[in-house]
Amino acid sequence: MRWYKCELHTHTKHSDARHDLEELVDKAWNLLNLDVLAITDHNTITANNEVIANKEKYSLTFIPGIELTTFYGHIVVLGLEEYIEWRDLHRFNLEQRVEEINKCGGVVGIAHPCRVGDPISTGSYFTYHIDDYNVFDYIEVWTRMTSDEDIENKANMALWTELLNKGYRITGVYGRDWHDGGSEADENIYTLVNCPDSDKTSILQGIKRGHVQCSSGPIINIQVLKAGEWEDLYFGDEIVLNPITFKLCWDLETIKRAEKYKQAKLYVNIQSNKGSLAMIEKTDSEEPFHIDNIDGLKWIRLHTYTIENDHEKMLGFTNPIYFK
Amino acid sequence: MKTYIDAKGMLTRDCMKSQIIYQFFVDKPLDGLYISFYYYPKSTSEQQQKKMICDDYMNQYPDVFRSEYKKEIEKEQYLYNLLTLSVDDDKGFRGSYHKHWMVDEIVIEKASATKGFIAGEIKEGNWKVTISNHAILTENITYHIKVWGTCQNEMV
Repeated sequence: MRWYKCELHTHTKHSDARHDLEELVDKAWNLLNLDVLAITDHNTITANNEVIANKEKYSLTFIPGIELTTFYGHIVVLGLEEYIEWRDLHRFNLEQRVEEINKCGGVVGIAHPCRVGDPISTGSYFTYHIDDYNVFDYIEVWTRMTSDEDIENKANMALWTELLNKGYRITGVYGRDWHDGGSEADENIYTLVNCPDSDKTSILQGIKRGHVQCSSGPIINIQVLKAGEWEDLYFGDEIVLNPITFKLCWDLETIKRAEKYKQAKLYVNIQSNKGSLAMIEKTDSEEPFHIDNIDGLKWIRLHTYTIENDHEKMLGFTNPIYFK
Repeated sequence: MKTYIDAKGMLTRDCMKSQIIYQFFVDKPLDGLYISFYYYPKSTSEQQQKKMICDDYMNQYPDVFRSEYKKEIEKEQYLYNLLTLSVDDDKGFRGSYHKHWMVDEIVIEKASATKGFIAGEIKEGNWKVTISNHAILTENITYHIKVWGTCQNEMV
């Protein structure tokens, strides 16, 4: 298992991007060093033909997709090459369409659910009536190149937390919604998927299972003490131990930019359905931390921070570990 | 050359989030199908924009964040209309034009097509062009749409 750097939300000139497919792929490979790139144009799938021509040129894994850009919300579908109908959707029949997509093997996510919608960007704010969010595989929690302080990302995180507290095990990802731009100077954010291989099937399975974290630099690996032995634990998994002892391992190599944090103060805030449980600072000795009693705990999630210009800056978040 | 659709329409704000479908019958295979589509105005004026910040739009946002959403909306000097276009042949989807600017002409031919559309044979049968009214923020929008086909070897 290793962490693969993915971008799950991009556009080309087949819809409204300023870059064509070749430019996008070039930036993905040379600037962001991505392993996986999903092409998700608005309401069309015609970029797929061009993707086939580029497959041999790069070692990227391409994931075909589409962003259903509807009047009431935007929905990204990954893994299917076929066109998916959106023009007959109204506020009350999206669930049925998503179930049909699930049966065809599509992985379905809610794009930027809390982005400003009417009157700036019709449909960007998700207003569909949903009875059961289990139909969705993921939700974009961080989007674009904005920070966690941006209203859109704050509201997305609050929505995701609300869904987790209600018992939904929905994966949280980052979606760049890449229409143009991109440079080495950018503080790029990655959706990182932990899986045995970078082929399309493995990546999509990893997303569905929640083996995902999002970061602009440091990556966290976590181990749990079980019968006296340290065992790897994967975000998105469920554990049944009580009490629990964890250990964090920091990866500052996979994302190039993470090198700058090798001498910086890094810490993790352990979030849960009961609020913040603890703050753990990165040390060389990787001290274990304990949760003495998991009664009432449904999930924990790790938010990583650093201190920059005397301010706390959030660098990333993991997907939850769930408790039975 | 044969013209299948040559229409002009006016939409009011009430038409927002609706679809307009033009269906036409192609009675023999064509070398190419071409579409010209444009609408105006593209955006509101600044004065109109300020009036749009009204309770109807604000109420959709959660109470705890509403004032922040209002600030984001107020930053925009103009609000933009958005109509998009898609095409279906007898078998299904042939493409979509989803952009905030218009090209001179959309082309669907056997060997090539405008980006967003599927190249291939233009067969006889029912074809549809759908205009999707994503955003109408001015008092009204006027659109023009023209669809025509060509066949090199014989009169269409």
